Amino acid sequence: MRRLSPFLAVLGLPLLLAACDKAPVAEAPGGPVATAAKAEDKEWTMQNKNYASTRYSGLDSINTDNVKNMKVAWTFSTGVLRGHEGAPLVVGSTMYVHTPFPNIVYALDLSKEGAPVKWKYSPKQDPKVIPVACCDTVNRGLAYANGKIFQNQLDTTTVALDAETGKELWKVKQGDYKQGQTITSAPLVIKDKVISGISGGEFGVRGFVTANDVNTGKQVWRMYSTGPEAEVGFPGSEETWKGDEWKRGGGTTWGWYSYDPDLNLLYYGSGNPGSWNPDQRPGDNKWSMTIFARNPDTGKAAWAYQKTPHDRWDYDGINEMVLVDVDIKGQPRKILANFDRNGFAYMLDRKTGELLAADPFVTVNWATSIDLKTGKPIENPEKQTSSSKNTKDICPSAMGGKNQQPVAFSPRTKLIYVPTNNLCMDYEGVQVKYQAGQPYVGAIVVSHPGPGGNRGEFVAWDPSTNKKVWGIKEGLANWGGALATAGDVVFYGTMEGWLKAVNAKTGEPLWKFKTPSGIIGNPITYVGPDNKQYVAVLSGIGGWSGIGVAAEIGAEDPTAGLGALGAFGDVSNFSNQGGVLTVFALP
Amino acid sequence: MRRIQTIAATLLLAASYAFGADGKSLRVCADPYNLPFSNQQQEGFENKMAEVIAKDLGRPVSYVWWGQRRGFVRNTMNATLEAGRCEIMIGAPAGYDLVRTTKPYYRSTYVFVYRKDKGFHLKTLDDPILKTIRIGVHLLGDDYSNPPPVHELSKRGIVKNVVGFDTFYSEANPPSAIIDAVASGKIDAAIVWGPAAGYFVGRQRVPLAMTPIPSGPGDLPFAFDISMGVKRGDDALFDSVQKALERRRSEITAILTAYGVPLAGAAAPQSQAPAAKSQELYQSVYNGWKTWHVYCYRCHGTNAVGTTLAPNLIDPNEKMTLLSFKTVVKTGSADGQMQAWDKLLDDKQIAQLFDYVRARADKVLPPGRPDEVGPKGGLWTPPAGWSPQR
Repeated sequence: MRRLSPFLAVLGLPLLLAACDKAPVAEAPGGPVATAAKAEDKEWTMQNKNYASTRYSGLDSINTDNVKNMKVAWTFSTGVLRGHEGAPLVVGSTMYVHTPFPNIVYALDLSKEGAPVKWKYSPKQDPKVIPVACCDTVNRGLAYANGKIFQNQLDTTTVALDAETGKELWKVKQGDYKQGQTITSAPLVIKDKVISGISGGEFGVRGFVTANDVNTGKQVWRMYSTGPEAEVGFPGSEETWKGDEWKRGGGTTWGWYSYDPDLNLLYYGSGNPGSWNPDQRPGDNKWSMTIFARNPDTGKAAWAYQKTPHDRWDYDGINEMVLVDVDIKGQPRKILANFDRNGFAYMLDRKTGELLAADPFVTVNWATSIDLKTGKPIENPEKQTSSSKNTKDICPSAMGGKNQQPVAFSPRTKLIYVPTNNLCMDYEGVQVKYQAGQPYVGAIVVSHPGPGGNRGEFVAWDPSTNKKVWGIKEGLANWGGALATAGDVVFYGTMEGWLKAVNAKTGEPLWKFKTPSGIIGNPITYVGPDNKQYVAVLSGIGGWSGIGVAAEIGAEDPTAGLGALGAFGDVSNFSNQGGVLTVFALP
Repeated sequence: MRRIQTIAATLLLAASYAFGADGKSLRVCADPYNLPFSNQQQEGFENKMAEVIAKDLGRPVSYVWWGQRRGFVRNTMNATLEAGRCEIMIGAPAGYDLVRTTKPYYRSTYVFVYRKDKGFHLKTLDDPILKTIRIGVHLLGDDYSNPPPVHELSKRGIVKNVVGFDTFYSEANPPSAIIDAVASGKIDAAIVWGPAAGYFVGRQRVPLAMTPIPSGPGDLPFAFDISMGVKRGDDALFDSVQKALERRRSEITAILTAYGVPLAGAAAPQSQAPAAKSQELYQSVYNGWKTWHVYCYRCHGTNAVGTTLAPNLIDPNEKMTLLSFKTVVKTGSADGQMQAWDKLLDDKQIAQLFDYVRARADKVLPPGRPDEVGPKGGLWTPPAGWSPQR
């Protein structure tokens, strides 16, 4: 589909093919859905590497033996100091780097020494959109297809840029920030459509997913998370709300998108219902907190599974869906793995939505288990929150057993690498009224470190048994994503700013480097025009966990930053604001 | 020449500093020309009370004199130079937030004063005769804000026949002029704060009637608790003054009687059910804290300390009355920087927010959750004598 860029065809291919032959990537049984063609491993063209969101690269020049020699090759300052989530893309000899608001895009020329700027795109957005962003002005990156770069901007603009020149080809507005709508998520291109979500669950925004034509920007379909069947593309929502609460019912769609080309299904999660005060919205509040499987051509849903009915904890269910083929109870299954904010690791049959397994991957006390027959959690009445009291010590916290930081899956180890949070919280609902464009939070939340005091743990998880294999405790939360490689090295960043490399099989630490600011972005790997394997990561503290540093809020009040300061008041001791891309290679 | 003057001034300052810091005299902030309250000849009832308290503490009395109007505390108790500072004011409305107020030691009320030969008997503000007679009132301070009964008169449409008497220093003891006007017949009746009325009424040869004014339903209160005000932060002095007031209760009452101060019934209603009142106040502050940390903190900061977007509301200069607080919250700020909140917050919630902000501004509520900043991490208790002064 995508033309090979000249340098790959002419210079890089023979050497790389030789390098990649060692790793039986494409042949590996249980490999990712999107074929990991060897040539594609030289590039990084999707946020989570492929449609299956495995964040796995077949590159193995950097391996468990030599990663200890890895050095900084070059760096690039983005010029923006808020939280840097997401990852750069590498297409041909160009790297595309995005920034948080004001959502600048840089095209860096990798074929020249020091990767100079080929073009820079600086959209004009009203700064009044900044306070509408719930949890820092982050952006989770770009999408690429057919010579175009696609970007969602904080003010809900979706734009298509010419990948060669940075020229705007078309742009559309998906919403209105004055109504509380923003976009922080990365788009995903499927065939001739670009898929975008919406943020604003803290403003009573009614979540939706939109498909726009890649060539014109024209809206092809839009489906909501809540409301009448015709607008949701699936029945069963409206009757689970009191009156017309579904109109401000949240279920926003600010996470990641995956796609299975064989089943022709698009997967994503919907977020928390609005408001955070459960007393105001009796009922199951469908389809908030739901895994959706939709036909990307029509938007209609094949199935939907609600993880947390009638949410009382802000377990905003938007985390990425990883599509892997593994054996479960001795049977090969096409599964969808989802490590939810509510602390449970869900394994579903991705064709039918059948729930195969659901087990806690962090400390969980709001529910004892998930009933696999009904799919419903068995809740602990003591941890059910309300507006009449402050419910204490609920685990995990609203920040989630895992947040937006995407996992990685290695077909070589058949393990999923999960950056997790070890956080608990106190939660008190507050009766609130709705006014378009005004906060509709309705809860006071204080997060604090969970048992043991470490706020994060980087976990290797076996999806076939739904059990932890090993874990590496981290002082702060693991708010950055994971990268797995055929060199059996797994990379992840920490909020202190370390990029770490560990052995994919054992978790043994192999290498680390302290970047200029905390890492909440996701590492990538690619092959440069010089045929060397590189590893790149954005650092720039921020996001919900790092909001204290990013927005310069002190730690005097633990309820600040929607409760983040209770757990992360000390982040500024470890990391300062920043916005730097650091690229590493072997000497 | 100039140089010599400067040196002289410095020496003088040093001398008075030494005197002030001897640790013996009780330094009282008082008005030099304001009988019956105080004067430089120390003839006022507040002068007498200062002596009672000082005697109890075993200290002589010294004074820092300043006119009792706007800026009084700033220029006396909180004066820039230590030499110019005092540590106690004798008459402070209970809960007056610039100082720390003791338990109230008397309660008085606004009264009607009129000649007994006028042929009417004034009992309430709803007496129809008030629309036809000339009524004298005091205008307070230099900003012409009105005492509560005047506010309620204008609510009843009684405006044109009201005559204002200022309380500046056009002459000594300004409260006396209004009583003179009643006696001489220049006005038919006056509405006066009880202690001022009682003293001057007793000094007129013409028989004058003096009746307390009751608040009607929905009216502002006309009766007030009066406390002593101690400099904030001086806890030791506060405790000893509080104890002295209890020990010297009979002497204090004798002074009030001697000066003809009309006492309003049931002084210090706090004594009735302090626990219930404290609980009610706590709940209001707690609810205000909740609402604050759902809406207001985004711009005004957590704990009301402000951000780059909006002011620090615990700054004493930002203090507002409940009325102006309500107006700003409901309609937004005049410059448009703050939105109107009338659709999201009702009157009760705004009043609770006010109580929370005032508790923070008065430095009686530490930062954090009110249910966790009290003793041993438990519930916060509003300090005795503190109220948000709505």
